[in-house]
Amino acid sequence: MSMEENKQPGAQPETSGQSGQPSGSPGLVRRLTRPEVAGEMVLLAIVGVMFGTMLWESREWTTASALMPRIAIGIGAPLWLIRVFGLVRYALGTQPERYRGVRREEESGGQIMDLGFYMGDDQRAALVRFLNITGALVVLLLGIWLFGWHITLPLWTFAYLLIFAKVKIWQAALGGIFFLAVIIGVYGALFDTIWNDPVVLRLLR
Amino acid sequence: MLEATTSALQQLFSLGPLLAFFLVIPYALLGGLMPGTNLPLTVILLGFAHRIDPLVALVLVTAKDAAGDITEPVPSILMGIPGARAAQATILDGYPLAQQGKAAYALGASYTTTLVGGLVGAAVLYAFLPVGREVLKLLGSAEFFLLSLAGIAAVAVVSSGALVKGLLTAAFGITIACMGNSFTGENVRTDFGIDYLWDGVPLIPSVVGLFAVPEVVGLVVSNKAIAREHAEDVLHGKASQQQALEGMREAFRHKLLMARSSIIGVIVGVIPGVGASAAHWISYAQARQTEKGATQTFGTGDIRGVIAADAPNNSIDGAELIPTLAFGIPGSGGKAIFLALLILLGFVPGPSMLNEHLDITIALVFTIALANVVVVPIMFLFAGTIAKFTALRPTLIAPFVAGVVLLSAFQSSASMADLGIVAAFTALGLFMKAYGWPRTPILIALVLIPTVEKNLWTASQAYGWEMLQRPQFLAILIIGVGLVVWTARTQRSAEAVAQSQGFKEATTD
Repeated sequence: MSMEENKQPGAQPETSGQSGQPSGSPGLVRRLTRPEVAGEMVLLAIVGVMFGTMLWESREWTTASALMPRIAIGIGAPLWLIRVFGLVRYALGTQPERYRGVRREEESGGQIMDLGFYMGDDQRAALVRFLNITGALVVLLLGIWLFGWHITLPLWTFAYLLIFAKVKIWQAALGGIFFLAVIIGVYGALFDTIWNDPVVLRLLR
Repeated sequence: MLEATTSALQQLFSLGPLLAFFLVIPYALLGGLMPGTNLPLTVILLGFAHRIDPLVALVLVTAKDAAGDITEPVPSILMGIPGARAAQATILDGYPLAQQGKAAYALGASYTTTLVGGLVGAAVLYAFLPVGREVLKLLGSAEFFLLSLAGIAAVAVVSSGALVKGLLTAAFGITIACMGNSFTGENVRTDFGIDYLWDGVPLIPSVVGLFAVPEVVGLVVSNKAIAREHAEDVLHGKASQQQALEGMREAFRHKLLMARSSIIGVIVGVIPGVGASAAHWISYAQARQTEKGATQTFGTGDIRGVIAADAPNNSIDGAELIPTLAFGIPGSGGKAIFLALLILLGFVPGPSMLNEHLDITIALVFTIALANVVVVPIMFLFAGTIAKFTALRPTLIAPFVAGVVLLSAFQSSASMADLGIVAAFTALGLFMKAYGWPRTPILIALVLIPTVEKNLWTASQAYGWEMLQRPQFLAILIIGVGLVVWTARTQRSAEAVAQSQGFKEATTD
C-alpha cells in the first residue's frame, strides 16, 4: 500500500517506450510492478481467464446455454483489450500522465466503498491495520475449518478484542461468550444448524 | 388499490411486522452512524429467508434503510466527518454551524427536511403503483430482458466513474453469474472442475465476500473513531432542544427549497445507478444557484445548505423501490441485496409485485413513511445520546460484524465450501475495492442474470429477430441508451460539484 517511492508514475521521463529503452530493462520491470499497475494486471488476468475459459468451453454447449455468456464476453472482450492496451501503454510511459481509471496513490485518499480504502494521513499505520485485520480473518477461516465454529469463533473474538481493541480481559471474555451463546442458542437450538466436521476432530477420532 | 391498501395496513400493524419494525429501529440508528455496520442485518436475513415471515423480513430491511438514513448527517454536522458518503454535502454548511455552537439547530433542520423528503418519496411510490401496473401490461420478455440489461449497464457505468472499467466489470459479473448448470439443465457451464459450483455461484457467500468482509476491513483500516466528548460538548440539555426546534421551524420557512430538493431525490432515485451521493450534490448545487445570496453564504454555515443537502436523503428511498419492485432493476448495491432478499422470499419482482402482491408493496410504502415519522422525534429527543455511539472504535465492532456475517454465509447451506466462496470473493472484493473497480455490477448480475437469461431465451424463441421491431422494445432501447448517457452526465456534473468542494470522486456509491 505504501507507494511513496512511486508517487509520480508516468510524469517523469522514465519512458522506455518513448526513449527507446530496451524492453526488459529494470525500468520496465519497475514500472510493471508498480502497485497501481500490478493490481490492475491481477484483476485483468482474472477477468481474462474467466472470459477465455468460458468462451472455449461454450463450443460444447447448446445455443440456449451459450447465448448469454457469449453476449457478455462479446461486450466484455473488446473492453478488456482496451483496458489491457491502456494499462500497458501507461506502464511503458507512452500514455499521457493520467490514465483514467488507474488508481494512483494521490487519488486514493479519503474514500470508502469502491474507491479504495480510506487510509488517512498515516499510510504506514493504515497498512499495519490492513494486515492485522486481513491476517485475523484468515486465522478465523482456518480456525473454523480446523477446529469448528464452537471453539474458533468465541476464542477468536476474545483474542481480537484483547489484542486489537485492547479492552479489559472480562470485556473480551463477554464478546467470546456472546458468540458461544449465539452459536449454541440461536443457530444450534433454534435453527438446528448442521455444523461442519472440523478437520482436527476428525483426525483425533 | 383501496382494498390492497387496507390489507397492507392490517398486515403491517399486526404483531410480527410491528414488533420487527420497533426492534430494528435502534439498530438502524447505529447503522447510519457507523459505515460497515449496516449490511450484517440484511445478510442475516438472506441466510434465514426460508425460515422467516416474508413481510417481517421486508419490513426489517425497509425500516432499517429508511431509519438509518436519518442518522447519517449526524457525524457530518457534529464532527465534519461523513458517517456515510451520502452525507458529505451536509458537511459544507452543517459543520460550520456546529462550530458556531448551532449543531442542534442544524440537526433540527436536517431531521425535518429528511422527514419531509421521506414522506414525499413514499407518496411518489404510492402514486406510481397504479400507473406502473398499466405500463407493465405493455411489456413482454424481450422488454424485460432489455430493461435488466440497461439497468446493469447504467449501474456499471456510473458506479465506476469510468465507462470501460464499469462495463467490463458488468460483463465479468454476468459470466460469474452464468457458471454452473444452465437454466435449461443441458450443460454445466465453467465449473473449473469444482462440483460445488454445479449449482452456480451461491449468492449469500458472494455478497458476504464481495461486500461485507471488505467493508469490515475498510472500517478497521479507516480507524474512524470519533471523539465522544465532542458530541457531548455540542449537544447539551434543554438549550439544544430549543435550538433543534428552531431548526425545524427554519426548515418549514424554506418549504419550496425542501420540496424541490426532495423531488430531485425522487428523480435521481428512479434512475438506476445514479445513487444517493449524486442526489445530495445535485440538490446542493441547484440550491446554491437558485437561492438568494447563496453563492456568498453557502459553505459558511447557511441552514439552506443543510436543507438542500439532506432533503433527498429519504425521498430517494421510496423512489429507488420503483424500478426495483416494478421492473426488477435495482438502482444501487443496497437495492440489489434487497432484490435478492425479495427473490429468496419467493417473490418475483415485476408485474406480480404490482398485482398479486400489491398489498406487500404498499406495506413497504407505509413502512418508509412510518420509519420517518417514528425516528425523527426519537432523534429530536435523544440525538446527543445516539451521537455518542460514533465514539465506538472500529476494532470493537469489527469482530462482531465479521462473526455475524460469516455465520450467515455458512447458515445458507451449512457447507464449508461456502466459506471457500467467501474467502475467494473477499480476495476479489479487496482487490476491486483497492483498485477502484465497482463491485455492485457483479452483485446485480448475480441477482438478475437467472431471470434475464430466461427472458432472453423466451424472447428469442417467441419473436426471433422480430423482437427488434417491437415498438416497446425500441422505446426501451432508446430510453435505455439515453438513460445510460444521462446518468453518466448527471453523475459527472455532481462529481464536479463535489470536487469543487474538495471531495475527490465523491459521488460514486
